[in-house]
Amino acid sequence: MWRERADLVIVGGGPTGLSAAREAAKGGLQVIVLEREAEAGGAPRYCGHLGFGMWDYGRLWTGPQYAQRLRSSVKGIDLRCGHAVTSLASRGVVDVSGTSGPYAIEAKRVLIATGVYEKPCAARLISGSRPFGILTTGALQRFVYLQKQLPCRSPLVVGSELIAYSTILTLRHFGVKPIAFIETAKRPSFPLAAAVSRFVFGVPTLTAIRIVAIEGDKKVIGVTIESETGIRTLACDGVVFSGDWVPEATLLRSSHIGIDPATKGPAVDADYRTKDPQVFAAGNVLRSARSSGSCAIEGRNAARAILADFQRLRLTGWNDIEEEVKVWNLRRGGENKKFCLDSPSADLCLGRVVCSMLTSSNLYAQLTPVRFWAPSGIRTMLSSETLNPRWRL
Amino acid sequence: MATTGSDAINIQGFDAAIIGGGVVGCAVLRALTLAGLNCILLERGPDLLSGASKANSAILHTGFDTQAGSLELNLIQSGRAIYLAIRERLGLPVLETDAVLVAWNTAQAEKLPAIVARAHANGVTGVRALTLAELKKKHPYLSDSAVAALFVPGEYVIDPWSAPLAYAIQAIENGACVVRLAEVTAAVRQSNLWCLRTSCGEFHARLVINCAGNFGDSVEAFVRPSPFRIKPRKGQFVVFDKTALPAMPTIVLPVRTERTKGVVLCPTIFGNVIVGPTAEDQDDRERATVETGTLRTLLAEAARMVPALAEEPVTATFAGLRPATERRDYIIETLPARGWITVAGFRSTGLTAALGIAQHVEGLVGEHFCRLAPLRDVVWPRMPNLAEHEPRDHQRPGHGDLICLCELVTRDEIEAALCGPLPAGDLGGLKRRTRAMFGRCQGFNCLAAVCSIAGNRLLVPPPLPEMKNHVA
Repeated sequence: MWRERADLVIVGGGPTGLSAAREAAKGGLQVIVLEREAEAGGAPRYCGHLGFGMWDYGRLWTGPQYAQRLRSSVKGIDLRCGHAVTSLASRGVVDVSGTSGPYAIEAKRVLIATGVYEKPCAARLISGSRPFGILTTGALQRFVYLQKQLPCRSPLVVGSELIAYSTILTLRHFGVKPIAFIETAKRPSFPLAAAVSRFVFGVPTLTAIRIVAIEGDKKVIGVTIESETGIRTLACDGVVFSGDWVPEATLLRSSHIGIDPATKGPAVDADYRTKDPQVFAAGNVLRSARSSGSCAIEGRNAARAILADFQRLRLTGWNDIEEEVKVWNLRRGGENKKFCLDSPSADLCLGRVVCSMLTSSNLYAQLTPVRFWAPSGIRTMLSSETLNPRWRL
Repeated sequence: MATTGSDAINIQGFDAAIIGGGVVGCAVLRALTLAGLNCILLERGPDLLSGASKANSAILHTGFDTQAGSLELNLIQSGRAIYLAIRERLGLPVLETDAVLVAWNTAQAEKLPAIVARAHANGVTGVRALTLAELKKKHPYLSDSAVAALFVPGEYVIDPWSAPLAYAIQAIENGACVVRLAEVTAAVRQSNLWCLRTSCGEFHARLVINCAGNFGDSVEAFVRPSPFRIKPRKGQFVVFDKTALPAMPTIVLPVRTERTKGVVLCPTIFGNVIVGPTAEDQDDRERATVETGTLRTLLAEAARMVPALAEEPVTATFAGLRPATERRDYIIETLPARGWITVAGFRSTGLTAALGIAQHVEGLVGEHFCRLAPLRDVVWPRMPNLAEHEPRDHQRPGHGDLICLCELVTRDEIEAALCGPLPAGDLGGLKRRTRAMFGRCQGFNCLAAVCSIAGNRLLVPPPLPEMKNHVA
């Protein structure tokens, strides 16, 4: 099958992906950004409240304004909206479901910036029925900001992170508000926001609450909760689950890269490189949600690491990806022994093959007896061999 | 009006009225329509399959462990054979997974020889004992704590919703009529004609077939004091994400107890893995709720059988009600003098047996009521493919525009489900036809967009509140 080629494919057109795209394009790379939604900009697009742009632009914008700014910063870059990546293979090959059919791209480097989603009701194993009106904050925001439609008038919001309190601002557009926030812990996660919501908007935060069940057949009619004082049912017409972010790492989970069981996102080194040397990951996909600004900065840094890769390839005059991958696979093919190459990349230029992989301060690899390019030429290295002092067993 | 199918409702009356649009009702509608009868199907919900048929484990059974000599065994086997014979013409998928039946302790292991003997007596001769090494080969991810196992070839996985919808759509395209939101509130027999009063008008038919599932006994009460009582049995399920599929090459069956088939671990045709069902008797016939504690038990059970599943994220949880009765076998009874056929008590095997049941009912109709004149030029509609192992719409050149990003559902697919001979009646029906909103984010990404596309075109639109004070 014919494959399109690119220097860098960025999966995800949110703050991370777009910031990385801008940085990489500035460095002269041919970049393709694949965004599965109809419009790029990521989650800020439907966060209509203030608080965006401070970290990376030093300004205070609403989400949509920030998203607009991100989009205009990548003018001239090949940004494809409505293009969803369906699988990721080795050698930098991504399969894409595009607006007019499937195709594949073979990229020298891939950056995964797919972000997070909120853990829905089902995955939280909540008891009760499943009527209409069970949402996440993100779904509520999409209703209000993208479809201009109110999904419920008086929802109960589960959680007390900042994102939970943003529902007050979201629902205000329709002149309605949540009936309450509930939190399993003894204190709200953001006491200041809880106080503002209580005293300014009159919406209480109930703490030490457990959800017993969601009630309602066709539509939510209430939520039964248990507190220290007993069990009661709060009448509401919707339940909004907020926070409890899950990395959108399905692409990685079903690829050769896999995920880290602790973060549920991919494991990366200090250069945002995953265990496939051609694939990088940055932004919220690495762990639960951080602010869009810090994601943007991560994206920028990942792009710089990728640019450094290309820089080295140019310096050594070596840019055959296939050869590189072959050697990498050889290195990874081994078993048992784990080596930690503990050295800053700059002074560990062992030769043209290795250099492209030793870009990080910490790089883990599994080795069997393997041939290495070293300054003195090819040598065979055994796992038991005494290594250069900088190589620690 | 909530009617689809032949142009106008026949005032003269139909040959047959089927009460209940579950999988069995749809199959009976198809069989009788193809047999030349003028049929109508009355469904109380906003869409077909909104009762017991909306939740099941989607296994195409072989009947290897069914009571020998029972009607159930007979109909499971004929239903399965008919499904496999017609599925390609209707565009219905099958995933040939086979199954392993695993004993997890010695008490269970002692029951295996009897299961093999019963399977062979039931004609499922491929069932045989596996050595633990063979078991490991069939299912490399299975826990090492298995004590003994059987191989059960022929237990397959199918699409539990496209199949019955295909039966109904084929019936409609061959002249049948389907009315939704038509709950039968009274039935009176006047001079060889049943007058069925529904929430959607009155319908007349010479013959009534009671396929009312969880309401079988209350519909039966229109003709006689019901000789059986439906006792809904709730089953809760947990659905794992699609990334779990590689760890489930085959169905894992437990050793069944007296009462139920037990908790099954099973790949789905959509590329997920499900674990369930539980078996909990209850009185409520409509509401099936899930319980946190039970779901956790199911998850633990799944991880005990296949440890790799412990790390897999949960996509969905659901509960369904299977229509059980006090009897062990199916109940299919004919009242020739009253123009009535009762079809009830299918528990969990209705999906497999539906086409067999339909054929059996067709035989009863021919025997007791009228001569059948099968249609000559039968129309065979093709269902859109939702199976993960076959090409989906978004994989075809020229197609794209994804709406549901988890299940990769295109706008075209959603549009197609909103028109045609049997358009989706509510959001649930749209989910069953397209898989939109069924994925891991459960609508985080697409619920709002789907409501905006489909909202007002559904028989029962999503209950969005009235909009006032819009300042957005």
